[in-house]
Amino acid sequence: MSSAEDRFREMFYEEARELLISLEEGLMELERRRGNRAHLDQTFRAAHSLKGAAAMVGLGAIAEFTHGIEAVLDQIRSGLMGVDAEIITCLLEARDHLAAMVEAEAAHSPIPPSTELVQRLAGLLGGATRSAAKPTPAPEPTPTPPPAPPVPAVKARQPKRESPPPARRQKKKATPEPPADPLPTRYQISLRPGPDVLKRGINLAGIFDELRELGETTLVADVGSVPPLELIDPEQSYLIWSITLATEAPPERIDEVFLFLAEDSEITIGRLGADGRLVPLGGPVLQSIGPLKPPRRASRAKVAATEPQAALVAPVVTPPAHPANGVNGSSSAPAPARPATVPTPRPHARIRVDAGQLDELVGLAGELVVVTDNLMALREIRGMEPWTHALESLERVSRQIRDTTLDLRMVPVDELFSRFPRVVRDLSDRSGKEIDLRIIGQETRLDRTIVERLGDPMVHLIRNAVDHALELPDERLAKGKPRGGRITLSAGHEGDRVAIRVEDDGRGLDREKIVRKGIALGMVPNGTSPDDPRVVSLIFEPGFSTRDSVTDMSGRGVGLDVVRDAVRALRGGVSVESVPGKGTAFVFRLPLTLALIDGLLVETAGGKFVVPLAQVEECVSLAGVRSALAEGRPCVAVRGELVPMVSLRNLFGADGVAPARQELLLTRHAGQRVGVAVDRLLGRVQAVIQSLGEGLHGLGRFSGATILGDGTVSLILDLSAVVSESRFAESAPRPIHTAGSRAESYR
Amino acid sequence: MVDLITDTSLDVTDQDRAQSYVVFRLGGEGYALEVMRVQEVLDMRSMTEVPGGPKYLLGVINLRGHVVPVYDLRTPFGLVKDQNPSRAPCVLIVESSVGSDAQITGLLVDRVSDVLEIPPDEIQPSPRLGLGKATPFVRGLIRHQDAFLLVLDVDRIFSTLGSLNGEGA
Repeated sequence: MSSAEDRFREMFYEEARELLISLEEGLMELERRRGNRAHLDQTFRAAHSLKGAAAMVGLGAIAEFTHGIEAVLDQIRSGLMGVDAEIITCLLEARDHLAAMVEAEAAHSPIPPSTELVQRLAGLLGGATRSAAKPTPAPEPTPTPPPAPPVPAVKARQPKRESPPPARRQKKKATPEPPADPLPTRYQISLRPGPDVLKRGINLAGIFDELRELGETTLVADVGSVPPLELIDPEQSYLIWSITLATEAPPERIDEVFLFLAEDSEITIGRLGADGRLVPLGGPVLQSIGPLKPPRRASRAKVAATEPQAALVAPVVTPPAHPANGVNGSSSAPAPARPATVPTPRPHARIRVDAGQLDELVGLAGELVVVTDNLMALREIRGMEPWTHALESLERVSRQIRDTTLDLRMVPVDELFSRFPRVVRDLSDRSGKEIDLRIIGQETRLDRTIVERLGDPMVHLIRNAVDHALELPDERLAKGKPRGGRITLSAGHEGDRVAIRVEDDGRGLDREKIVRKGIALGMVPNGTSPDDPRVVSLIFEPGFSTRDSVTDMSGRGVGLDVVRDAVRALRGGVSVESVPGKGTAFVFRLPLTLALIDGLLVETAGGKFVVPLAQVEECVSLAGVRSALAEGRPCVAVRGELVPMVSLRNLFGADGVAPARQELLLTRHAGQRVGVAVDRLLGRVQAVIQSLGEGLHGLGRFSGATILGDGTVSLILDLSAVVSESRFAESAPRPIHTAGSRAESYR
Repeated sequence: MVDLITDTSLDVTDQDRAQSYVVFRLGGEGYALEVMRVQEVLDMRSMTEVPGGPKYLLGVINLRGHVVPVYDLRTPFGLVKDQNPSRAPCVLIVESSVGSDAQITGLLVDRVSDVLEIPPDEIQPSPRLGLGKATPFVRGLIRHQDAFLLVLDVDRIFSTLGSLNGEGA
């Protein structure tokens, strides 16, 4: 395969992923806002564009499978089919399979379309009449009288018709308007493709094929603008096509054929009167057809004149696109229906940027800030006026660059939240629990890496909520709660962090049970009170799960420790609030960005380390503070509170004597304050984080490295990993369970 | 057009053309590494130690703004450290690929001695046994001045070290 073709494929995969997302969202919305015309059109268009795009890069199987989905959507759109949960489920499953096909193709191991789904989709088409009998959701605000009973909606493959030309198949309109005669209208189309259409990968032959599907087509190429041979650019299109098309399809169908060409090509479509005169349809097609009167298909009087052509027309297989719209015509057509064929207007122009390059840019901008800081420090020494000005502007510019590039990494958390309505719907389906999902603050922006990696932990929590926390409808009613359980996802700022909450109004955590289990596992001392604040955080410990049974949805032997680890890896924390009988809320607190941290530079045993400021609650001097042993762990009294202490020197196995005046960094670990002793505090730094690379991933205590102003490398300490590590070291003979990630790496 | 033809003919010969190898010494053994893999050779400089890191990890350095780990292969290869080195060791900056990721790593070596051009047919397959702990990391042998140079497979070295990491060797 040529590299150009590869490139088109790549572009297709990216586009397909986006379209699949809109398709999914569209389907989910469809269930809620049944009759919304504009919305239906948008959903349909996602399927249609995907089909077109797949066909264009030669992925026939994908195009064909998409066609099945598109056909069903088209029926819904035409009002020939009602929407119910079953149809949506089928479409969603088909979408999932389609997504799998696309990904498999991208991984060069294509999978075939699912025959089962193809049949089910076809089955939906076949059963269309059933649901069409009830008033269908087609165009909402139309004054059109509802489909009158005597002219029932006729579905695609039933050549049931009432009036004149008995031989022709007539399969449109759910409206009682005078039945449009089925005779083909002739259109004269002039197409001057933009010079770049070939480079954009548009297959003109494919477009002509689509036209032929609509009806009999005559193609004439005008070679007038083809330059002499030596001037020809083989990638440029020079031909002007004039096309005559005889079709009974509504003009919108013709529109759709040219959908992908419309943006840079000159296209004019005119209707040929029966007398052979051209009735122009106006300027560029895609805009022109909207306000147009429906092509009145030559009035009755002219029928005779056009009759002979009828015989030539190839039968149209696809059902009409805009039945009500096209027939009712005129002003009654709702305005929102029009955008159907106009390419989606995008609120902001977006470009795709390679994530790696972006990271590099962020890194560079951060370094620029560091360099500037160094120069600023020089200024102090020299004190030269012109330098000062230059440096100040350098500082301003570099900070702006940094802020802008950092901003590029930020995406609204909606990109994460938008997949959950689907997840919740599926869970609700399977569990028999009614769930009302609320989403708040989806416009909050977060680092894209965080948004990408938070998906699995959140799915985990949502599954837990549905599986364990929310009660069945009857139980809820008995408790005086509303039938349906509620799950609320919210995002918002809390200081310089972003808090994401996953909240349910279910039964709440059973503290008694947690304590019993904790004692049984040796994680908490005997006789611990259920009200002890440490109790709740036990659920995040590895190996802790109060459920013994494994269900399909959660509890597959994976505990909340995985959630906690995932959030920690993002330099965030997770906490839980729970009120028995009222519900539980899990709160992730995350940094705004991963690329840059505010840190504290500390020294221990001759090494300099950066500690993320966000992990430090307080610093206290250890001078004169006596340490004591409590429960076999060294502790210090900080303002009367006994705080367990971890010595970084001990952890690093450093030789030598610690300075008399050590400093204690107070951090919070598993709901408890813990102190980490370091030799010296050197000051605050802003650090651009670099990964330590593949080979060092096993070292949890360092979350990365950064380059200091003097060019030396400093490691970034992860205090919570340091604390867990030391707890493991000190309590080694205790439970096997607290071993955690450290133990895993021993295997 | 003419250029095109010469180009392709060059391509053909390219396959059996001699490749250049950087020859270096480590713990008394001679090793060779494709020159294409070696970005540069640095003098030993100050390094940031990684407390608790594996023994073969000497530390991390700042290579023009990038944090690069430096490994000492003597530990995994079971070689002894030269107690009285005649000169300061240096660091080879090597490109390797683990999975689909390219990464830059430093390798401590006692001395870089030479760059040799070796035709592919002079590289003998590596024996399955007999090279000690380094055996799995040797791609082949080059006979050079009455001794064998061990051609290293850096990709394999780094992917293996990566997975050994947790053992804190």
